[in-house]
Amino acid sequence: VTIDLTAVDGLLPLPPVTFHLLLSLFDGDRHGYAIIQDVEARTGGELRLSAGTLYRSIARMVEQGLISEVAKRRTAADDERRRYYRITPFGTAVARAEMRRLSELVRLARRSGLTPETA
Amino acid sequence: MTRFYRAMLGLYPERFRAEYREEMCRAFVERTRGRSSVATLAMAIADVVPNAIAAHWDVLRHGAAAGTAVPAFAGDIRFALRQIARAPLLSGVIITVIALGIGINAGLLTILNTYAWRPALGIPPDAALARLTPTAVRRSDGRLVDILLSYPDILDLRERRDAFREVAAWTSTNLPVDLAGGAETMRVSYTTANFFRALRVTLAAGSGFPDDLDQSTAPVVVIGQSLWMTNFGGSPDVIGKTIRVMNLPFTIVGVAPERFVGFDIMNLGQPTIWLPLGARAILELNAATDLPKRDVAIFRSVVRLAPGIVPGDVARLTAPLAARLAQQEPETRARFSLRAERLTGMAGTRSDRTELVASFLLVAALIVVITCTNVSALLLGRAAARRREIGVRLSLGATRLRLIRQMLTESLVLALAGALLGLALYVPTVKIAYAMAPELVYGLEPEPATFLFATLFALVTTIVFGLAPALHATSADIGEVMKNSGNHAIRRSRLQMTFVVIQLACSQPVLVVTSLVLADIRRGVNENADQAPASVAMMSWRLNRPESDGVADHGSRYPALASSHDVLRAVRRRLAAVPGVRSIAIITDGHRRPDQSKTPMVSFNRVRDFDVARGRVATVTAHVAQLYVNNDYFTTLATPIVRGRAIGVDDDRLGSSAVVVNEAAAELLWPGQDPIGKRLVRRDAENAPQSTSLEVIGVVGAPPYDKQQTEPIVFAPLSTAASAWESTLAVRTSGDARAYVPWIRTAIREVEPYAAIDDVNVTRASGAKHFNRTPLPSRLALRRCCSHRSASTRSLRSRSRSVRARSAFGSRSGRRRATSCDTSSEMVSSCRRSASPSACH
Repeated sequence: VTIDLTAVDGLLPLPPVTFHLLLSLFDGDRHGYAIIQDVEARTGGELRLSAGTLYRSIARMVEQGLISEVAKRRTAADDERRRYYRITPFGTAVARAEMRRLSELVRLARRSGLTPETA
Repeated sequence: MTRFYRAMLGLYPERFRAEYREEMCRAFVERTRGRSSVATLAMAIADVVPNAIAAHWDVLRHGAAAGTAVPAFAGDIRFALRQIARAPLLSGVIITVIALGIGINAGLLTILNTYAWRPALGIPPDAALARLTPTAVRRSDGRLVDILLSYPDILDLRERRDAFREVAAWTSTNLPVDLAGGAETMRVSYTTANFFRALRVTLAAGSGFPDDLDQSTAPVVVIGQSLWMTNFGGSPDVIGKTIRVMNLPFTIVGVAPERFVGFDIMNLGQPTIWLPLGARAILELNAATDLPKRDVAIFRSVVRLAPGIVPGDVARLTAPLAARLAQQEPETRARFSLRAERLTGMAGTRSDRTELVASFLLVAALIVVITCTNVSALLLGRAAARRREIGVRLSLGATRLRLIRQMLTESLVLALAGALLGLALYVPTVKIAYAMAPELVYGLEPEPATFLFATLFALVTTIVFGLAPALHATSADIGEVMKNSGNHAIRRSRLQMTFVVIQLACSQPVLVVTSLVLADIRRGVNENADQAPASVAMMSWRLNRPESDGVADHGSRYPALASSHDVLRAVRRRLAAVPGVRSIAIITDGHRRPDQSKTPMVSFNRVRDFDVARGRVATVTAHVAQLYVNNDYFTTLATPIVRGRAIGVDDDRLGSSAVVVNEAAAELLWPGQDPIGKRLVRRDAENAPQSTSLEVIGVVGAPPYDKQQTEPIVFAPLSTAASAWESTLAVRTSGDARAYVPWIRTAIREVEPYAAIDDVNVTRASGAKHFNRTPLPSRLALRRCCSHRSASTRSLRSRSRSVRARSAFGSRSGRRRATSCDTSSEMVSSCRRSASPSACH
């Protein structure tokens, strides 16, 4: 799959919610409420997405091609009424790029002598 | 609750709603499982409202956040600009109306922010700063009134470390100050040494008062920024220089920051200096001994609250202290309590500011409604003219929603253009006003936050009001519109008529309020201009020297003039030598200087008890105002002598029993009789229980500039007054009296360098003016709302003088009350109460 790097750079920096959604879907397909729970668990309860915020982000990410809706259910346990989403290769590339950007930022901060610990 | 949430999802764009409604409902239900109804409701609102707005914005910005095919918002803006360009005149009118509305509102909000919401000018906002508002029940009428504090009170408050970190206090007066250009009367505030420190006010130069200066008599002074700029060119070398207050040298130790004038709105724009409390001992009579006295309550206080304390805690924390003080001073401090309020605004009390804020916000809201209905009516007219275009677009398949959005976009563009024009007008207008009349718009400066608020408010309302024309224009029947396409006549719709009615309804109160303010100003400036002697200058003045019944004291500081009468005679002689001065009138109520050690308020009581004989045995006592005037009084003020004669030179001597009454007094005391030669007995109970027998030698009519005068007045010779420490001078000149004012001032200063001269006016302005400058609406309204219950010594004294001076000119009480309405009825009633024997204290 060919990834348009210009398009990837054009989406950076990602909004935090978008990045969290990509991370959540990187582990596997999930429906909306599962994403909310996963993000909450990952952030230790610091980020609690509302339904409105979630689906507005999902709508934008679908339009941008970062995620797509899964047409077929993977397992029998999947709820038929729910809509599942999956990260696209483009979404993965964008998530990686964002991760690199953040890492670079952290590296620069460390080089400046800044540490997370308070003095 | 799910039903409610589902209904709220209707706020989202249609495509988004159709795509995600079920999923969102399911997620919301699971997200709120186990929560209370209230929490769920709150979550639903907090979730849907902001996200629905954001989703709509996405649609407008990107054209299709959820894959819709709606044209982008930018397209709507381009179309709106084309529409505006097609009707430039109409668009220009709409933009101008919006700009004026926004500009006026921004101005009103700036005034509010400057004078009511922010701390006083020059003081950085600080939540820990609070104003103490001590109250007690007044024994005379049982009302709860604001009172002042004594220095021992301040010391007691400082002991309450649990409540206050700093307690500062001040009291103000007017004194002659000489900054090397001649002595002028200036506002002088005596402050505690920690005054500037407590306020966290950084002086523009110098270090201010040393900490231990409260009771020291060290002659140091902090001067105002305007004095620094005007007299010392803003030079930092000013520190260490000397100015003279009451002809005593004071060393400058600081310069107040720009715009800082203290807390009294009466000080706005006035040159002010600050002296330490101890300086009172060398400048004012009795001050050396009265500072430690508990009953010398002359101070106002501002405090810095201790950490964790809010103003609401102060009353509770100081309750024991207040109870103790109430016990110590049961006469003056019944039910004494100490409250605090956040230090905002220039006004004296919270209720004053509430009135100010409410009235300004009401006017601002009315202006917004007028502006918006005006714009709506204009937009409606334009929409009517575009009915055919709208009909064609509807017939080609455009949805009504799409057309409404387009028209709202046009409203938004117009509102933005109006806001830009309003900004262009607002900033230079405020700056020009400040440059041209800084004392009138003191402290006002353009504020981005205020303008932003006014703009956002106007934008929202403009869009809301733009909705009505949009709905109206798109509700037309397509077939009818297309059939009548050749008919371009614009019919007045019911909606248009509604807008006109709303405009008229809202304009009415605004016009009434504006008319009242303008009429007040007009009356203040030109009252009785046709009849009043235009060539009379008047001024209130006060001797700052101690009277000593014939013995000049305080060493060489005072010229060897014995009493206030001697000073007045010398002033008269000196003024008479000024070329162009034709006659001089002197008016006083004859009271001795109030002892400030007893009360901060001037004991202003010109009403006396007179006994007159009715028949052979009956005696009637009447309360009649009495003024002491010199022999030139009636000539100077062109008061007609109706019967008998005026007070002559021979009558104006100590022990004289001659008096002149006005027609109202004659009618009251001897109804239907000729008063000439009648005798009346004045009860001089002020200082000693004695009486004086008087004989009426003349009756005067109402002065020509106040023919409606009805208040009975007895005029006694000036020389018989016990004291003339505070009096009013009226000088008739041969030309425009205004040109003579500096000469008159100089002449007075030559005789009495320490006289405090206030309220200088020419007579045509004096009938109603209380202030020495023409008030602009903002200042007038502020004073109307702010100045009343401040009950400061200076304020009340100034008002008393003003009322008394006007009384001297024959203004009747009713008229005084009416023209006094530029302050509050409360203040007027205070003055009137203080004019009654029972209310003086």
